[in-house]
Amino acid sequence: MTTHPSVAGLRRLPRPVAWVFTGGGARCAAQTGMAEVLGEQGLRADLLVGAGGGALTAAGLAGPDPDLRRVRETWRRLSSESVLSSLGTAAVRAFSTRRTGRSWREFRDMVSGVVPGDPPIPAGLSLVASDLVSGRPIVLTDGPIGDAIATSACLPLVFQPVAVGDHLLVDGSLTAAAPLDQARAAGAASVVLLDTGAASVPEDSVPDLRWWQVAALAYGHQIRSQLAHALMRTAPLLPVVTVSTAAGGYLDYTDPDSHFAAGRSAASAALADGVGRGAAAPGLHGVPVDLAEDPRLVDLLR
Amino acid sequence: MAVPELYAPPSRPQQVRDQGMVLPLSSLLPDPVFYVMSGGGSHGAVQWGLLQALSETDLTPDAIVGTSAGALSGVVYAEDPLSGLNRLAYIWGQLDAGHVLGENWLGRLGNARTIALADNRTEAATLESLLTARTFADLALPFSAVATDVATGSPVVIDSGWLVPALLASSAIPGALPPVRIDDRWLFDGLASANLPAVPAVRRGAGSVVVLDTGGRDPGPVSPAARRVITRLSAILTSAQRADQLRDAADQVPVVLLPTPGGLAGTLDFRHTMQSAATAYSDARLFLSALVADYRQPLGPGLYALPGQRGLTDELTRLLRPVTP
Repeated sequence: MTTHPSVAGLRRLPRPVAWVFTGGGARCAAQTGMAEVLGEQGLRADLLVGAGGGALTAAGLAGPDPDLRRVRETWRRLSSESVLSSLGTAAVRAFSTRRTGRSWREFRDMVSGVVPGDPPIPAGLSLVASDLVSGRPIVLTDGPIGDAIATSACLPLVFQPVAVGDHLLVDGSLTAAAPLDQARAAGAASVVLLDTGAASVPEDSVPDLRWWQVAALAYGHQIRSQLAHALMRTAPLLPVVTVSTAAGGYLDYTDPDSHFAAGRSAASAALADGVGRGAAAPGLHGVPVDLAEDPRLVDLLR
Repeated sequence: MAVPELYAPPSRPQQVRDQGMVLPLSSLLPDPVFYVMSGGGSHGAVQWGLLQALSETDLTPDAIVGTSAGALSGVVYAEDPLSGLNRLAYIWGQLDAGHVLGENWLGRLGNARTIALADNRTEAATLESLLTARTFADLALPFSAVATDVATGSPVVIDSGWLVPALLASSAIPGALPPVRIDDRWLFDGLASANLPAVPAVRRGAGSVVVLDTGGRDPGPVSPAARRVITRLSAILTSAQRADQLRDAADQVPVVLLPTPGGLAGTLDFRHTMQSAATAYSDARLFLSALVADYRQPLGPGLYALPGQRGLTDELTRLLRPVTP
C-alpha cells in the first residue's frame, strides 16, 4: 500500500483530532469509503462528530469494535428499503392528509446494525439532531446509540420526528449540516472534515426530476448555504482538513456501492494531492468542492 | 351650556418625532442605495407598505434587487416609481394564489412523474398583463431578479434580457412551479439561495442597502404532523439563510432593516394582505423617523434595526446598530 505524502502531516494534527461527517442525503455513503481510506493509512480520530446521514459512518467508527463493513451493510439495507421513493410518498401525504411519516422505530431497526449490541452512546461520539421547537441543533448524549443514529439521520417527512421531553427532533443536518461548532464544543484541537454535503445534481438530469425531488433539492440548497459560515467560524481557530466529493446522486439511495467507490477515490486523490501536509496551523487545508471559488474563504486557505 | 365634547383638545400625538414632514433620509445612506426585496408569497404585500413609507422620505433608490414575490413587486416599482405604488396597491388588493398557480394545482399531487404540480402559463399571463416593459432595459430603474441554479444551488442574478422568464424563474416555487431554462441553466425560486438578497446587492456595488423584508408567518403549534413539519422546516432554514445574508452584507455596508409584521397567515393565503401592508406602512414610518433622529450623519457598516426585531439571531446582535422608537 502506498503511503501518501499527506499522511505524515495528518498524523501531526493537534490532538484531539475530530473527524466531522456532514449531512447530505444519499451521498453520505461516500463517507464510509473516505473513512476506510483514512483508516488504511493508519489515521485515527479522537472525536467523531456526525449529523444527518453522517451519523452512520461516525457511529460505525465509535465503540470498542468499530467495523465499517457494518456501515456498508446498513447503507445497502437502506437502498433496498428505497428511502427515496418513500420521500415521494411522504411529500404527497404531507399535502393531502394530516398523517405523519413512517414510524421512526422502523428506521431505527434499519440503522441500528451499525453498532452491534446497541450500547449507550460512547464518549467521544457526538451525534447531532435538530430540534423543530427551538430551531437549534442538539448533541444527543443519552440513550442507546441506535436511537441516536436514527434521530440524527431522521429524514423529515419520510420518518416521524422523535419526541424527547420538550423537543421534537429530526435530522441534524437541517441546523448543523457540517457540525463544526459541535466538534469545537467537544474539545477538538483540529478537524478532518469528511464532506459529501453539496446538494448538487447534474445539470442535464434536472428536466427528469420529480416535483418532490425539486422541493427536496431546494431544502438541500438552503441547508448547504450554511456551510461557508460554519467554516468561517471554525477555520480561524483550528486547522480544518477537508476531503470532499460531489460525485454520485444526492437523492439516489439505490446505489450505495458507487458512493463508496466515489468516497474512496476522493479520499485517495486528496491524500495524493498532499491535503493537510502542513496542517498544524489554523485555517482551511482543502475546501469543499462546491466552495472552491468562494471569496469568503480565500483568506482562510492555507 | 356645557362645552360639547367636540371641542375637547386633541389628545397628545402618538409619536412626537413624526411630524408628517418629508424625512431627510438620503444624507444618511451612502450611494448607490439598493432596495433589497425578499420573497414570501402573499407576505410580499407588506412591501407595498414599506415602499409607501420610503416614498415619504427624500430617498430614491439607485437600484432594486428582488427575489420571488419581492422581484414581482420590485419590477412593478422599477418600471415606473411614480405610478408603481398605486399599481402595487391595486395588484396586491386583487392578487390570489389562482393568479400564480392556476386552479386545481393540488390535483396533480398523485402524478409522481411531473416536475411541478402547476405549470407556469397562468403566472406568465398574469405578468404579461401587469407589465408594459418587456425587457430589463425598458425599466426606469436598474433592477435585478434573483433565482437559484437548480443543479448547483448558486444564486443567479438576472439583470438583462426578457423580464417574464426571469420573473418566472425567480418565483418558481420548488415542486409547485417548474424550473425555467435561461442561458443554459435551469433556474428556480431564489428562496433556495438568497430569499433576502442582500449579498447579491453588495456584490453589485451597493453603497448601502435598505431591506424590504416580507412578514413572518405565525409559527403555530409544533407537531409531528407532516404539514406542520414542512412549515417549521421552511421557517428554520429561511431564518438561518436570512441571518447569513444580513450578516455578510452588514459586515461591509450599512444595512437598514425595516420592521415587518409577524403572525401572518400562510404564504399562499391572500385574504388579509392589505391589513398587514397597512401595519407595515405605519411601523416603517415610525422606524424611519427614529432612524433619522438617532443617526444624524452618514451611516457606517452595520445592521440598523429595532433591537427586538423579528428574526434577529444572537450572531446578528454583534452587528446591530439599534434604532430606538
